[in-house]
Amino acid sequence: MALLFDTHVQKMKYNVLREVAKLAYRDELTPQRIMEIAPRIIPEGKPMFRCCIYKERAIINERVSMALGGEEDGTVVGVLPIACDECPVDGIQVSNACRGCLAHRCKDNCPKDAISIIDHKAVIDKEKCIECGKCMAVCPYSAIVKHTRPCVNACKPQAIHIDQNTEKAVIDKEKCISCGACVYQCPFGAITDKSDITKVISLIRDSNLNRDYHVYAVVAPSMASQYPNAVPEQVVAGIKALGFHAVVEAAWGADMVAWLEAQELVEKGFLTSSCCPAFVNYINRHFPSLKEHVSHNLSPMAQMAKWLHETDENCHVVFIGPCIAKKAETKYTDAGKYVDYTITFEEMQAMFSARGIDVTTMHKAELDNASFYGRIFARCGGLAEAVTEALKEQGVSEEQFKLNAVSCNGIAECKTALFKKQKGILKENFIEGMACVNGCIGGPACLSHSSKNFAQVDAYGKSSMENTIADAIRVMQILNPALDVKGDGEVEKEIEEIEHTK
Amino acid sequence: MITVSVCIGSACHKRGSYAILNRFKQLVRQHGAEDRVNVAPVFCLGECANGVSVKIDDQLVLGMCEDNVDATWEQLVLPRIG
Amino acid sequence: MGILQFESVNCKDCCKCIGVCPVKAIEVKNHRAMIVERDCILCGNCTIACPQHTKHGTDESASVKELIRSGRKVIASVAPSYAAYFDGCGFEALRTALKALGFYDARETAEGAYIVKSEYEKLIANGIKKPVISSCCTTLNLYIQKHYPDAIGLLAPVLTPMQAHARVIHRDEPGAAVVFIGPCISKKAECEQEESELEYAITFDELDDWLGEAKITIMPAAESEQRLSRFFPVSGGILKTMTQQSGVNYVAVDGPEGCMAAVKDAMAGKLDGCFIEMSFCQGSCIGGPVFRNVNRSAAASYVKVAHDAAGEADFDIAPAPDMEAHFKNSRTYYMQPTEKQIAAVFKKMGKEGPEDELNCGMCGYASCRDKAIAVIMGRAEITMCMPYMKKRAESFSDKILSITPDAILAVDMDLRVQQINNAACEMFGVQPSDIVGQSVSALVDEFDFVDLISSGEAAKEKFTYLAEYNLYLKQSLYYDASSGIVICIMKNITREKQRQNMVMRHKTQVAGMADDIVDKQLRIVHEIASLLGESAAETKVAISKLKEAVMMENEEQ
Repeated sequence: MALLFDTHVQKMKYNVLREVAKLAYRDELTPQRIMEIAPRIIPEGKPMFRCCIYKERAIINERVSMALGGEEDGTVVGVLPIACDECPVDGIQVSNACRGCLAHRCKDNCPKDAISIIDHKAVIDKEKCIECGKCMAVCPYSAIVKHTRPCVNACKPQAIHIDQNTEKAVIDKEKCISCGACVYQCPFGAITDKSDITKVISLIRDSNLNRDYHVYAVVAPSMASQYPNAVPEQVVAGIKALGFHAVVEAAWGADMVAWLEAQELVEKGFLTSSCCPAFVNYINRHFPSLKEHVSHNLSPMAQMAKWLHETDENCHVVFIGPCIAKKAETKYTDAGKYVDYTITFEEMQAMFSARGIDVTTMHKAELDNASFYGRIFARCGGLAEAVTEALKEQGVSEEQFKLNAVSCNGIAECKTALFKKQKGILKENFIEGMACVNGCIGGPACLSHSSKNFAQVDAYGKSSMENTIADAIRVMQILNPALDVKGDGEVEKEIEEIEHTK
Repeated sequence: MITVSVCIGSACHKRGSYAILNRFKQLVRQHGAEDRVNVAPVFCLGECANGVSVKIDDQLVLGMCEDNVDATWEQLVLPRIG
Repeated sequence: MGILQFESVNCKDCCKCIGVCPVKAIEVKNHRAMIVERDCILCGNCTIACPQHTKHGTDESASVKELIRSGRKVIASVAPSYAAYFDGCGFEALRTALKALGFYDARETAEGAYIVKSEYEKLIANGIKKPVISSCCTTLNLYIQKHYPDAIGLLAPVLTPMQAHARVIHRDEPGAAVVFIGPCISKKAECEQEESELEYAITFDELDDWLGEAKITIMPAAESEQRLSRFFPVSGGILKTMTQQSGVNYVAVDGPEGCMAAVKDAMAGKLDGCFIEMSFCQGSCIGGPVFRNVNRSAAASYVKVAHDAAGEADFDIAPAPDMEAHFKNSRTYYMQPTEKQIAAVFKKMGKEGPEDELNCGMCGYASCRDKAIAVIMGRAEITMCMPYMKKRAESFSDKILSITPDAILAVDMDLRVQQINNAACEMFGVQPSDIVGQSVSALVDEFDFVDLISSGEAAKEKFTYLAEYNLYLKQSLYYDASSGIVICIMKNITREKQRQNMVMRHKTQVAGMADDIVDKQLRIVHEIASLLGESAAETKVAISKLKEAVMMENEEQ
């Protein structure tokens, strides 16, 4: 099967994950076998990317270490020091293209007078330079460039800085929100997430074919846009073939979240969403004064897992999604009570490959029971739409409460909205925060980042058989009549109803 | 103790598995068989094209609808609980 | 499972497989036949019946080769019907060939058969009341488990010879991998079951291909002694090997219909006190799927088997521990559809009442009712009903032909009328029976037809007047060389023509009238002119006279 990865970095990461998965499946995670991975991926001969094959193998070993879980230090994202290329970090520079022109607009436009012409070439005094970029903008030869690190650029909460001595990237644990943007952006793949893939494989194996306990897979709705040659139902079949007892949609949990969120919104008047863990982290660490406004509802993933536990006491839950922040949510927040492990689509594909499962040839399985509204959580704007629908279904009129939501596409927009709220000048009454641009379909561990993804998610949403959020939720209530799914104390009423109608 | 599992996957749900579930529960109560029969909903059984799917212990029963719940009860459940 | 593979691209939707399937475990979706695995008993009838050869058992020889390559000891258990397939080569010869392929050893499943029949003998030693059915045939076992689980109690709770043999082999060589080689597809499923001690089952066909690939021929070897238990694969063979017990009735049944009917009768109490040998394949194992390709009659195959089996001597093997088998109820119940549902399906198939239930069997189902139920179960499509489709196709075009006001004739190359529609009959005042098969010249001028055919053109139009019918016609002739007919469509334009004529006459009449009026006007003018002239002349004369009279008076004065 022609695999579609956006970048070679993802492909390399996937190769490692696949080899690790193969060993895990054969129950051969011994030091000897693990050491055989690097020479297998980087065989003798010319190095592919770096100076020599030994450095490449050393990096592979670092990746293997992350694939096996990495260091337990409270984070889910880590820098691989050997792989970090120490990209130049000298900010604004005059390049060789400078022709020492007569106009020297650079010098004239510099607000800090930091440019002088020495020997017919522009020279920037770095002491005075404030990196405003004006000189860059006016040079007619584009001879002034800004050298920045992709990782630093990618990190909107500005949690990455460069170590003075080693010139390696360093992540500040206090500021990092685990969104994984750096993981996706680093052109050398020097930052990567830690993996629980081996633990998931053991979990399924130890379940004794789901006889001792059931292992559920909760899968994110962005699954609909990962494979160009397979429909979501085939992906579900593939996941089932990995040995899970049942595959359930996180979108179903999203339906419940939309319902409960609508209720909470009417009650409190202003909320920020709590589905995106990176967004929640961002508020907690960078806008702590707004913590009280974060919705008290669990994320769809956790909500779904919680409901699964209340229906099937002895079960275990694994979440599969495009999201690295979910790993942090699973490990370090309350959600961990319900979800055992989180793996990404990259890791899922590695497991498929290790087992010889080709999703494009699977027969379609069924994925139930979410509605359109739950499924569109995967793309930006989806949550707001779903809450609007939930309000409508709950019979909340516009006089009682009119939803005025702002959908923040990426951390930069989130920052703007939160800032406004902090200053009290935000007009809207609901902030839907998505740390990744385009929403979850733009997640760092997605297999595909194309423009078609938005439409694919909507198409997947439309294929749902439950017409309203209430329908989708009712099924959960059937599964467990004692659940107060609707949050209003209405339970176990169906039997009386039926007797009347008969 | 036998278990009657009614599928609540979307395809069956649309065909009325909810009503079937309730009718089974009613029958259990009418026959006072709460200690012998457990009626429970289950996730998709994978037979979405064949009407509502129900399992009686490990026996798969297809083509169920509201009209034949009583027949199923008589033919397949009662004989097992004596 | 996926044991019976199916290539849907070749399926031509002919429904032959459904007809031969004893349990109707085939569904048609989008005009492609697919096997319903949970009901399939792997008898292989569909693989043989399909004219497009779309179905075959999975080829597991590759997996067996892999097993051998992996270094494990692989021992073959060879079914006794080898004698019929490999043309009397004798077991030793086969054994040598198998070892050449890489098998550690090869032993005869007949050893397991010996143990199994001994167990049967033990079972019925003290006489039997309820019937006991042999459980060697995997397809029969699957049939009872999946379709008639009430009869499970009648199956002898003993392992099949293949499983028994595997246990014996493992007693002698623990850790060996056992592979079955036989005529049977359903054994592949048996190997996949949990309690199975075998890795794979391959058929004689797969082995034959493998030998061919490896370029190994079976060299005749020294003949081995005859062993009675090698009789298992023929009809009545099991009974032959058993010491008959007095008071017990020994019955042999083979073939799908025979077995299914016998099971029913056994449950109905009609076979009490009987030990029944049942083989699902017609003619027992030597009639199995792989043998349909072998160019030899069942009788001749029997002879081959008997050659190695006949006599009194048998194997001498101690039974393996735990020969007991437990058969699970794996039936899937299908709730009977309501009469309303069935009636709705009948309606869609164009069947209004019982007289329309032809039960012709063309769709593969024995009765229209069965097919209707299959449609409700999602296994059959309405379009599978041939009479209905025929009626639909015919009735539609028939309707068009019968309603159209234009006369349509179809004429063959001999200019004989093949078809004539209602409008043509009316037009020419004939009945179809009068004119079909007769020359078209009885109705119209055949010259036009000949002209068209010879001209090589595809169509021609002209206007004609048929005096004897007083008809004006616009004739369109179409020639279809590939089907060898000329179609003549005649539009009756008599009315138009008549009207045209009438209008013409009318016009002429009116033109005539105009002329008349002009003439009349001129005459009137003439008359008036002449009257005026007369009057003017008279006036002149009168006035002249008056003038004279006045002038004369003036002169006298």
